[in-house]
Amino acid sequence: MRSKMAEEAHDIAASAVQTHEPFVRALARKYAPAPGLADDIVQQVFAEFLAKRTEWDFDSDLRPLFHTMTRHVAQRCWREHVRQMPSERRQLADHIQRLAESRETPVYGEDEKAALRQCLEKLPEKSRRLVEGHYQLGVSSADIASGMNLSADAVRQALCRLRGSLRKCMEATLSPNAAKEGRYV
Amino acid sequence: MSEPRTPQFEILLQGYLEGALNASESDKLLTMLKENPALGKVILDELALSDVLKTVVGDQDLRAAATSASQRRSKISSITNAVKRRPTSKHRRGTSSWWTALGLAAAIVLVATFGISNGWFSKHDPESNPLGSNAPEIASISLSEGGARLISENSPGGVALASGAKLHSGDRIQTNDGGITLEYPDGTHIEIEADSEVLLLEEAGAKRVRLDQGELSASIAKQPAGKPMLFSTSQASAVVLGTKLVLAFADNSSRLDVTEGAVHFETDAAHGVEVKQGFSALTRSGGSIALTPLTEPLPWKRAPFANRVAIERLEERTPKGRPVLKLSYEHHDIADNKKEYCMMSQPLAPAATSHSIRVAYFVLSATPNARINAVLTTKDHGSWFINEQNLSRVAPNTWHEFVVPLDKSQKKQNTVGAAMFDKASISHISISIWGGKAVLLLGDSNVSD
Repeated sequence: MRSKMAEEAHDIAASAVQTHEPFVRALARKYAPAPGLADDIVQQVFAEFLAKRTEWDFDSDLRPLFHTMTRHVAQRCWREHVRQMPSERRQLADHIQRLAESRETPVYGEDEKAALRQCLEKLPEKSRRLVEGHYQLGVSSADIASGMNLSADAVRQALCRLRGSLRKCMEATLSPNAAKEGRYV
Repeated sequence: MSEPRTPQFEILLQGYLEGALNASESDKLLTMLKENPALGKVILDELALSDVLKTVVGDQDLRAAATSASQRRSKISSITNAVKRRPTSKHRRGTSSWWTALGLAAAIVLVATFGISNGWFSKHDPESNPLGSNAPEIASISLSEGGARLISENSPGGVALASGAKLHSGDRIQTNDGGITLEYPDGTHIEIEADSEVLLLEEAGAKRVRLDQGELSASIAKQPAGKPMLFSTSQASAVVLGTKLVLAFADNSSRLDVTEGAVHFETDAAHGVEVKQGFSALTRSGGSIALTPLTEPLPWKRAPFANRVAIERLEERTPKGRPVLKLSYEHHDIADNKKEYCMMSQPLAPAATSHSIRVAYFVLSATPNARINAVLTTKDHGSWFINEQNLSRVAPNTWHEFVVPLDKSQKKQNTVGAAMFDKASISHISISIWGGKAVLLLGDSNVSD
């Protein structure tokens, strides 16, 4: 019986993590808007959340709790991130962080991700390979460029424009009447 | 308002998203953002879309490849062929990250409470509870370089392992001169290096690997929720849910390098630590764990006109933990009084306050005439000879620093460019070996004030 209760408690906590991942990820980007940091922040927030899972009231709205936890973790992470930066890069990073904190950040929930998947499948083969090479295998623009006899700038621009196409496609795919509420934090 | 995105902005934006902007590009992008506030929203939206693209693209591949590891490899191969280059570890971000699949929550709890499951191996070691070859098949050998042996209950003396051999829970593998690669049905790969010994187990679908000696590298597919893969040595354990890592055990010390994802690593004596992507954990005597950032690949490249040098990238490290290259060179006389040499170069831009460059090297063997020297190249393609060391006169089998002074008057080696040496104009440093036969390890260079 005890084991069953523990399993149920665990399932509830797991479900809370699943439900709130897009929200926490968006907040992570808001407070620490640099590439690659969101994964670490989300991981740390959920690790701390799960470690104390017996303390939370799962019947209440957990978003304020996640918001506070994410802000704290992200601020810690951000301080660490910019600490070693040369001054020019730090000025840019700090400027972008101020912008992010003062603006709404989009939340990519399951609907948005599903739309994005559909749009990826519609990309021409060459474009899809470029996206996969960069986002899945993590190959930099410079490395892609040197392998394809292109300039790094050309690859950077191509990736930027591909994202633009994906964004337009995603917005067209999502229902125009879909609720806007909750899609920004 | 006019369209805020210009080609230059797009190039800088993508550079920012890749963390690849230099100081001047950062400055340009900052100026653009200040001059055109509309670009602020663009950069934040792009950051968000990039972030989600990593997770979505990774998800797609996992779904598409779930049934066949070989199909997955061929898909990845087709992508890499398209870009014609394998990514470096620096660029291999965690797109197949275990965060992307949200069945992960259960697994996180297991990681957080790993201590309670520390008895996995003691309970299931075949020496106390032999499973033998009647146990279920769990993996197979996809590549064997020869010399590996399989030791099981049915063959305690061991049998030779060849590609295609099936492996069962409880099997112990010993490699000799060559390594082997194991493949699990879910696409997880383990490369076991030469002179290593590994025990394989499986418990209720969860993979267990014990490294008793040597080194292994693993690329681990996302593991089922609640069934993380466990790697252990006699003194440390690593719990993984889907990542890329290197685990080494030698001289009573374990080293774990994580190149993708995150791994929970602990010793009997220390609290567990989370080793994140880009970090290396090293156990010390007493059971404590030291975490250090993973080192980047060495920047040395063979100069196009270098000749007759065999280069091997080794897992060995300098005392400071940096990777090394092994260079094997043998001098041959060539016609026309031209000197033969091998040359390794790397970009370099010392600050005005820098007074020397120190290059780490380690002589394994050298004949009396073998020499090492340094050449600095300037942006105007001028070539400046710096100093030289006879390799046979330095103590072998220990690390040295080859010091390249930057302030002394230097000897011009070619007729190109300025006549006066200008430290601010240095673009590359090159290290050459010539004159004899030498085998040495080359570390990286450090600029000193």
